[in-house]
Amino acid sequence: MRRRRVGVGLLLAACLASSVALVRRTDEQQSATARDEMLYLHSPALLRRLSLGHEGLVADLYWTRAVQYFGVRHHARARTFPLLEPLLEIATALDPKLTVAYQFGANFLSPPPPDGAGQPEKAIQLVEFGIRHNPEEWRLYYNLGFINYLEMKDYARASEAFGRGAKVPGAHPFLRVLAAQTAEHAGEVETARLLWETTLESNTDPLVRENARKHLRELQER
Amino acid sequence: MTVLTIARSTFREAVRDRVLYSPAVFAVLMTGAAVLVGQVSIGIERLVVINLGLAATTFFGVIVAILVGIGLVAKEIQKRTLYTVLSRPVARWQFVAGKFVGLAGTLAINGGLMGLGLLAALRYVSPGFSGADVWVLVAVYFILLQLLMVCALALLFSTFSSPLLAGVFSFALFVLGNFAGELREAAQGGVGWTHHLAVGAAYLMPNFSAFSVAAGVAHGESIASLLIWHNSIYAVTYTGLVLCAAILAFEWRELQ
Repeated sequence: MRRRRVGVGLLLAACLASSVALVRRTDEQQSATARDEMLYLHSPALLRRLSLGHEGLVADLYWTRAVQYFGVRHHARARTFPLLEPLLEIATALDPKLTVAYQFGANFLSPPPPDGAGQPEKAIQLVEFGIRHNPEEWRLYYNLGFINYLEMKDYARASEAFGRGAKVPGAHPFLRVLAAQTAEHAGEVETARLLWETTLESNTDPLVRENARKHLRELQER
Repeated sequence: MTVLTIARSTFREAVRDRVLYSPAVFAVLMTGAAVLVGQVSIGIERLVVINLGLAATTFFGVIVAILVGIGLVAKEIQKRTLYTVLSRPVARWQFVAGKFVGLAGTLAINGGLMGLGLLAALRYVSPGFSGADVWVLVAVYFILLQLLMVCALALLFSTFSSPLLAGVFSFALFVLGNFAGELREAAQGGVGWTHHLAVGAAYLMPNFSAFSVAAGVAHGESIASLLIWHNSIYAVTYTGLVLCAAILAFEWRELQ
């Protein structure tokens, strides 16, 4: 009896090890890109229905997938991010209050490759969608002004976005300064430094803070 | 009194069937999710705990409600204990009502424990309770109301069909109930008697779409007191309707 149990236990362990090895082998044979670039469901309306009333959870999953997708491709120094915008669009359509997806999503979309997807227009669309659904979030106006200023070089729109943000109750006082600074000293290094300093000061996320420090160091070296 | 005696016995049986193990699985899932999401995503730990917690409470609860509900009558017939019970001065309606009350109690304790687990997981990701946590508890209450309706449906189907079919019917109605709004809209398109038939069928479906508040409460949005009243009264009314149908079906059933 005992010997049989030991035998079955060993067989179980052998089968488990063999199945794990086979799955790993199959994973290695499939290219990482082929696995990543699958987006089976594109329609937020369909996903909303399939979620059976839990669209918030599905939005969280799509946001997590967007973070992972960007992280993996960014780490691999990829120059294209074809699924990033659809993933962000689905996540925010399912949960328009998911403000973190606008703030970070815009930062993933707007910078030129390999730092980002090089799609500042898409980033602006994303943030404007976010502002329509969350007009009380001053950070979104800040993101909009930031992209307009640094990526689009559209200083008038940047100043306007900072100005709109400054009117939001509880907004960071620096928005008013940024609105004036971008209007009067557009394109100057000092203005860019001010923008990155505000980013560094108003964010707690270590990745964003490190990125801001990197840009400040680059400005200092000019 | 008879109803309560049957309810107590149903509750004890559910506990013996280890139904209350699901909150333990739930607690492990919640804690694991909270830790994992902190590692792989950005800024949504609290959102995930609430969204995943409410989704898990719903699906664990629906599975428990259906699995226990469909077996209530069939198991009694299989074990031949139903004949012993009904040979005593116990009316059939008392048997059905007692079974429902016992199962409703089990689901309430189950759901309550999962609600506490959810609060504990929330405490883990954001120390200290906030006023918004009250709305999370209201969302758990809405889930419990849905579970009562699903449980009543499972009980209804179990009075006249096999456990497998009763399970399939109950789960199908749970899914359809989440599309209740769309079904009512689609029913408006018919003409003549098909229109009336479709509208009638659409209104017979449980309306679970009004109970979906998870995405809002995850962001700290409040729930209108009118919606709380509407959903409470609707759940009681619909459960009463289904239980009456279950009692009628059980009264008509020939037991050999």
